[in-house]
Amino acid sequence: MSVTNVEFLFFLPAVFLLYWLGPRHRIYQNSILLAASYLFFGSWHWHLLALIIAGTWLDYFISHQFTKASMPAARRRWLLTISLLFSLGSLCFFKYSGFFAAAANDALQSIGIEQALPVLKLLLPLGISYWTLQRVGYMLDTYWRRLEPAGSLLDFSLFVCFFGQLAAGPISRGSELLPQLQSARRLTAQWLTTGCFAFLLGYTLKAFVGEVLGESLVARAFASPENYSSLYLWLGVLAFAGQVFSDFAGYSLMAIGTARLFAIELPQNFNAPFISRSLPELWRRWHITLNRWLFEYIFTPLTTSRGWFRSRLDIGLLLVFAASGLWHGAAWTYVCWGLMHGVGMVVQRNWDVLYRGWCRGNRAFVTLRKSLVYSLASWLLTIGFFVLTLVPFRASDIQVAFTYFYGLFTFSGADKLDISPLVILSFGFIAAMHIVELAPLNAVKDYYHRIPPLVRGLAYGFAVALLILVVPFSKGTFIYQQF
Amino acid sequence: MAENSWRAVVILLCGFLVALFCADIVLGRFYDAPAKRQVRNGIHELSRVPDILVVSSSHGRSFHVLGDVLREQTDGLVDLIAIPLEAGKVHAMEWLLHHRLKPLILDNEQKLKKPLTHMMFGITWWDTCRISTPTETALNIVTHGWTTADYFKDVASEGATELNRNYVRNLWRHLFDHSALVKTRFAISENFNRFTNFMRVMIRGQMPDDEYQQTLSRWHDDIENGYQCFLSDMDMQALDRFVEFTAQQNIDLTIVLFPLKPDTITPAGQKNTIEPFAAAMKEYGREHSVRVLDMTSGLLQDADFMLDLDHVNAQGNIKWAEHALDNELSFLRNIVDAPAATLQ
Repeated sequence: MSVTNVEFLFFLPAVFLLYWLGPRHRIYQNSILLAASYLFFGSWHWHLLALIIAGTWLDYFISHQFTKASMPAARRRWLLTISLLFSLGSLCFFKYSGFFAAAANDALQSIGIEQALPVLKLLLPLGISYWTLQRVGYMLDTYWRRLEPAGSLLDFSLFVCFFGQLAAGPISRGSELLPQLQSARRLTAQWLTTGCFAFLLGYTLKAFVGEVLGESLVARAFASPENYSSLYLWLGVLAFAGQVFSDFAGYSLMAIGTARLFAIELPQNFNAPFISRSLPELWRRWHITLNRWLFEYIFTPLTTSRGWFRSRLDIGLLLVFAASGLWHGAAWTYVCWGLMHGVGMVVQRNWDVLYRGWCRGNRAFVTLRKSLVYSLASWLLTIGFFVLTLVPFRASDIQVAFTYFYGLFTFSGADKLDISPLVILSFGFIAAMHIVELAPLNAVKDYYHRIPPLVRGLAYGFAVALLILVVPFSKGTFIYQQF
Repeated sequence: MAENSWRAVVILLCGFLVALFCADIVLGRFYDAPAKRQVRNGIHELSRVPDILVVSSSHGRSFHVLGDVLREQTDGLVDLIAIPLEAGKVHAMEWLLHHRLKPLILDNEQKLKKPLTHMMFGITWWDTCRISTPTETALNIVTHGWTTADYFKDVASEGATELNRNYVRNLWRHLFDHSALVKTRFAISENFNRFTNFMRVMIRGQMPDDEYQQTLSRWHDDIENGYQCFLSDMDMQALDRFVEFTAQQNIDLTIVLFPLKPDTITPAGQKNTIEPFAAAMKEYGREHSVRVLDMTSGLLQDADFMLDLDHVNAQGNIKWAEHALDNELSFLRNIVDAPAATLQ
């Protein structure tokens, strides 16, 4: 089951009613949510429930050991290692064993050894990449004594697998989610309205905008790029940027909306990424919770440790983005995508250092940096770079990615562009979502909150009616769910 | 009023419901999507024992019209119940027979002391096709015949899948049977492919030519290559079990090869798939002493089919029913007086 599947239309109201009609008590509320979460997970593959439950129990037990003041440092390290081995080992086994075995076989084949290692095709547990990182973050925080361990196993189990965020995040910190789970929640009108609004907006993004862009342009362009003109391929990759944004930001909003219906606030995952004017800004706006995780738990410890990596920021950036690429999928196209961004971040960092030097020497550079021309140029470069890196991200293999790149820059062909009004509407929807985030237009959002509830209700009603008609029938899976 | 007070929420909800309700009414006046007969309608009617029970794919809806015409022609003397199973497939229809229909048939026989004497099985070559594609489970929508218990049993053993998801989708559709929005949504999916085509048809009165040609081309490909998947073991074994059941119950069985839109059959399609399928089914009929009627072509014209190029439209259904009852299926008019055995 996924949040856009038809079962969810029955599942969510049932859990909502059970949750709020029962006693307003933490244990009752958390028990209902945990049972629903295990049911949600089990609806995909119930036999893998044992994996998530075993990992939860292990981490809960170990995190409580960390609080013992008398425990020697070496023993604490050992316990952390056991926890990380279990979490990351499970992730690697399920997600990467096939990829590494295939890569090793390719290497061995080049020296004449055929099919030395079996390539396992394992069923990937739902959301393993997300709840593994969430658990690892919690373990490191408790190990570094930045966070008190969860008060009860019930709270911690729910923290690990709350169904709203189970499939594709957002990846919460223990300090964000656990305190909310450790007390009883009360339903307010604000939770209900903001939850429904986030869910509806997310559903519109995922089920309408993402599906329309994916179906009409992306699938065809990436299936056989050699058959299309440069213009069509540019539109295809732009549409893919829109699709992947709508798909994942849509999912995140639905997760946030679902959580709010249970009076739980999840962290924001997207913040108008397409208005970014630099790569670091982009990564603070796109998949926010993954990037802050990578920087908090890999980049910062690595570059501030006493080892060789200390202050080697460029190497740290390359490693973080290679890890990000690999996290997205066990394929060379993802590694390539991650490395491209790593290189982009290194170039950006060095450019910023250089430019700051110029600014110190000549104030005209400060003025230039604040000008509209500079802003537009940096926006174009940032978004252009990001969109281009999506080619290997979407391509089925490296060869297709090269064909696509070649097609983009040969400026050839002139096929008839059959752009339906729904595609234009979809692009317009994404653009509008970003434009209202620009500082001069923030007043629009304030105006929205002043609209009378009756008018807003009518607007929501007509929007839902329209969605019923235009949302394509599809399998409803999310691009980011497969990661 | 506080923006997030409960009173504001109630007002907002009222506005939401009013808008949905209005949209539903306006759409209902603009486009009247026909209600589609489903398995549950047929099963509901099985509280009585019909003279003829038809099990078929979605084409069973045409047999329902046949039943109406037959009832009219015989002054209500001959009763026919048609059970259409969306997306067909013989193995799915056989599942339906054994899991849902057989208990009712046997129960009726005991309670009402009236055995079922005639059955018809309406199929096309497609219904015997085993396709190895990822969408196969989604296409084999046996879930239309499921009960809630069947659904939970399947989820318990397989998890939530595209196959069992159809059951929930049908349930949702059934819950909002009277909503023009919901009916139109499904009509768009089944007949127009996408919303923009639906709008074009509503405004211009016809499907855009390029869309029509694309759909037609897909049909040509499917039929020309149908020989690669038809008469699959899985479906033919299911047919054997179907025939075995009717023989055990002394039920007269007629297999009808249902009409296809002439435009969708190219000479290659006729040669590769349509003719070999009809020949194989006739041979099957001879071997198993079952009447096989090939009505694939000859009567209905392109204009008698719906926009999906597959199902017969209202005018075509009447034309087909009247013609069939005057010719191939004329014996149905007299079955109330004639014992089943004499018809073999």
